[in-house]
Amino acid sequence: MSINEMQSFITELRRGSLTLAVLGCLKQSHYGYALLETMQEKQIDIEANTLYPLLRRLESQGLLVSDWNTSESRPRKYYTISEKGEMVYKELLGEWKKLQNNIESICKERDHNE
Amino acid sequence: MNDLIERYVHDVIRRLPEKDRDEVSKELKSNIYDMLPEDADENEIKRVLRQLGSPASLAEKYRQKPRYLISPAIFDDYVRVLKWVLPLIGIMVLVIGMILGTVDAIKGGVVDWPHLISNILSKGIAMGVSATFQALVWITAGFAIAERTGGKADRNKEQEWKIEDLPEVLPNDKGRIRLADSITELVLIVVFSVVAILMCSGTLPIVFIIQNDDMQIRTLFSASFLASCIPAIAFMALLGVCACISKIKARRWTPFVCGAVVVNNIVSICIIIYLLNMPDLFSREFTAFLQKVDWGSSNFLRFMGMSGANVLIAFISIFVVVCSLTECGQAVYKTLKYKKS
Repeated sequence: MSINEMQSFITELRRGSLTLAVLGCLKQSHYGYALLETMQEKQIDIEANTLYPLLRRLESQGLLVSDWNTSESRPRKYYTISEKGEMVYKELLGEWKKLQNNIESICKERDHNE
Repeated sequence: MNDLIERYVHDVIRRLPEKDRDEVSKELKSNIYDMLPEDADENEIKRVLRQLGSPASLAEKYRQKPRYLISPAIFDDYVRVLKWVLPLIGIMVLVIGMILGTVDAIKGGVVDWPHLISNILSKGIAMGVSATFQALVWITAGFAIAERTGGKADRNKEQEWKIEDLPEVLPNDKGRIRLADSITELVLIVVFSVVAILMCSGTLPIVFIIQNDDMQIRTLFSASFLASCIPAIAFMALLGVCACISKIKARRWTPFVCGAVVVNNIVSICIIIYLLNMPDLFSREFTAFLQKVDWGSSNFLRFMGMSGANVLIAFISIFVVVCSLTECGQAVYKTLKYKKS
């Protein structure tokens, strides 16, 4: 299997969980690049060209609120999670945990049988 | 140096809807500057821009939904229609063009073969190619409209559906009108009507050729008949297009579609019968030609020659009525069958 092919499987697996990770990080407000660094520190492998459009999409869906901060040398757009975002975050997190348990139990059974 | 960033951002936002441009531009610039160290040189700017990827793909990610002229859901139908309508229309119009080329050449007094053949070929090919392009444009336009109207209806249905609504696999398929068929019909109506109107307006003359010592070309129909044909054809085409659009939107034999097809056919029958029975259908030259012809000693042939035109008109009238009524009957039958199932 080529590296590219492998990469596309991994990307597919991660896609849905990125929203959860972003919502989780934005309890504290971040501007785009700071969020990218925070996430990379936590070993979440996300590209800038995926994160920036994702932030904009989540904002237009009402999960994030944003604010331009002009007090620094350059204006920066800060994103924070909204009330609706909080609700979605909790729901997604519950789902995520359930999914993890289910997959683990499937994999354990399989390993056991081998 | 900053020029590169400006150019990159511009190349991204020009692909976005107007209302998003200002905000994305500001945000993207701010993000790019954040990614750069203080006093970055050109190489560092290039590195960051490369990391962001091509402007086209970044813009695609900023756009919320993928945009299609013709989505994959109906692309197969689109290709199927193109595959047989384009050659059909191309060849048909090629032949018409060649006939016209012949007529033009004879009218112009061209007698030598090389000139005659080049005249025929050039006219035929030019008309065939342009008709094929016309058909391509209309088919694409038809599918693009279906994409925008039909697709939405499907999406709404997706949200609220009942198990009972699932079509039965075999029998209920009869109630379905294939998109490919409707669009083919639409294109054929438009192309035929345009050709017919061109013929009536004299751009493509309908002629008969008298061959005695030399060839003579005379028009077959009277000018008053041709003049009244033009609005009639345009009106019938309009009705036909409306019926097709109702088929494309519903894609099922609903009562409304059935009504549209029946009305279209009945009105067309009336118009055609009225036109065919106009008293001065043929040109004076043609009537004179029929009377002048020496039919020999056979009285039967003479009778046929004189009244043959009338018999022909009667046959065509009956043919039109039968065809149209068959189509109406089929429409009603399919609608009733679809309703029952």
